Amino acid sequence: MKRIIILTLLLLGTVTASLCAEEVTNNLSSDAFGIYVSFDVDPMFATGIGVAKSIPLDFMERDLLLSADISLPIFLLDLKHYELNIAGRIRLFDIGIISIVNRLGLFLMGTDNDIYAGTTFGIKESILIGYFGDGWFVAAEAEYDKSLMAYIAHSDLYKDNVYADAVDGWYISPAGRFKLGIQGGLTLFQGLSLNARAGYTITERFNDYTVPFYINFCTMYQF
Amino acid sequence: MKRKIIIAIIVVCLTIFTGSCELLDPDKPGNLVPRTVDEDSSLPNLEINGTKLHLETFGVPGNPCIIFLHGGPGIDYRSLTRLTGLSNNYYLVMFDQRGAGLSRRHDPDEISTDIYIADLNAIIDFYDPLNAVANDIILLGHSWGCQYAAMYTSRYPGKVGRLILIEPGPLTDEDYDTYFADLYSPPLSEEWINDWVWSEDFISPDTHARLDYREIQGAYNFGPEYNLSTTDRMPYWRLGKVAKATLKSEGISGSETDWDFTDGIEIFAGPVLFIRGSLNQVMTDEYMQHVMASYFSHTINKPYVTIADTGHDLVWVASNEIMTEIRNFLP
Repeated sequence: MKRIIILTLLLLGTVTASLCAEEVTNNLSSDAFGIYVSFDVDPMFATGIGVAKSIPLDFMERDLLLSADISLPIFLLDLKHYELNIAGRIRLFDIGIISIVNRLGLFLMGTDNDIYAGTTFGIKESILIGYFGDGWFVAAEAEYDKSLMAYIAHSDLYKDNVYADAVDGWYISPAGRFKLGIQGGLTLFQGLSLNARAGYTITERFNDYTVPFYINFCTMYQF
Repeated sequence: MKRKIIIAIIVVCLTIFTGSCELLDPDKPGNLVPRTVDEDSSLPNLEINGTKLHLETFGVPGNPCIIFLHGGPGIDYRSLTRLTGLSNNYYLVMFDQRGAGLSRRHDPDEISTDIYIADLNAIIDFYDPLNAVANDIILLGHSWGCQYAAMYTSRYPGKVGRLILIEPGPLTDEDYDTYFADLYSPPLSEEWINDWVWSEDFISPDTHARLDYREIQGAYNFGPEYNLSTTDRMPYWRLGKVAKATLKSEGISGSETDWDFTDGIEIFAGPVLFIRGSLNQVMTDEYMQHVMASYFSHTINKPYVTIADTGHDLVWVASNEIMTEIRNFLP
């Protein structure tokens, strides 16, 4: 059953393939609603589902895209491991044919491994600079993900066999990550679009991760 | 007005929350992993060869000396502490290798197999300054510790009297490719691998302590072929991630410098005791016979013992049986 779920999600993610930057194309219409499915290597294989809503801001002559999604690691399909994101994205400036888009979001993550169960929350801030045409876009992106606090409760395995005095509690500023990469999106036909992003990632203190890159594929369908 | 009230409520809640609980620093020594000898002066230690090692001795100096070399690289000697019963007859030296366990942490440019050999040479000279009891220096290695012992003995065959090799790791690059490559290529669907990578967003791998903390995650799941006990788990203090990664990158197939811990071992003619656990599916009987025949054929006295119903953690779960075999082997 688990294998069927994984394969179905993979199929959805890869066939529908687009992303979360749908709003920066013209294909999530103002005041529209969309559902998206994603497949990620970020940092491990994960799949997600989300909703997006485009809200016209008349005073700014812009649309604000609000989104919310949940991702689960594909090989850990249990609710102990998850990532919830809510974000707002808006086009800030246009300089000739180049546009600058900003995305600010909050995240909540959970994990449960051999040595601890943890929950962390933080912020994600990203800037896209690129060309956003009619039905397609390509942009460079820079992102900073900052975990503000993490609650860690150590397991009996760790305390009994490794370190009995490990401290449980709220840890401040335990993680941070920079991402640099590119995004691209394409509208196939009315309501359905594809998006992909990929890039390099490093810790906030410029140390290497086990998986030093990220890849996302996503598809959105607009209602 | 409504917006101001909402903001005020959020600020008050955050203030109450942060004021009511102690916020912990993940980099404060002792919070996530035990302190090293540099952070806890009460730990037994020895300053030698430009480092500070977590080190203990047991027994009476002057007795034949057994120097214990733990596994890894990068683990610690906690799993060997059940063998301290040998101190009745022998002088035991147990230490966490450079960058491992509770010993001082070093950056990669201060870790290499040559430096490890120099560390061990300095320890032997410290406990046998006149080289007067060379025949009484016994190196006991477990897993990587056997590679360490072979490497040192190849370089200084005249300073070692006997070897005790408990489930040796690969002594050459070819042996790694033949017997161990699959072990170090687990499928990406393994739960512990996903846990391990997913957790990098909880604790960034930015300091020695954070790296060591993450490293323990895989310790109890890695290598099911080793058949480790789940009822009497082999304990650790602290794994040294940088030491492990640096030494492995120096020798693993694909690097420029290939491992060969046996170059020169043919000069060493002393007795060697080989021990393995019957449940170990990596260090099999075939593998042990290969090691004995390929690198120690010149050694006349080389008893080979299999401890029943044990895996790679035999030094912990079968310590009594191992001590019996060691006493039978040693003079």
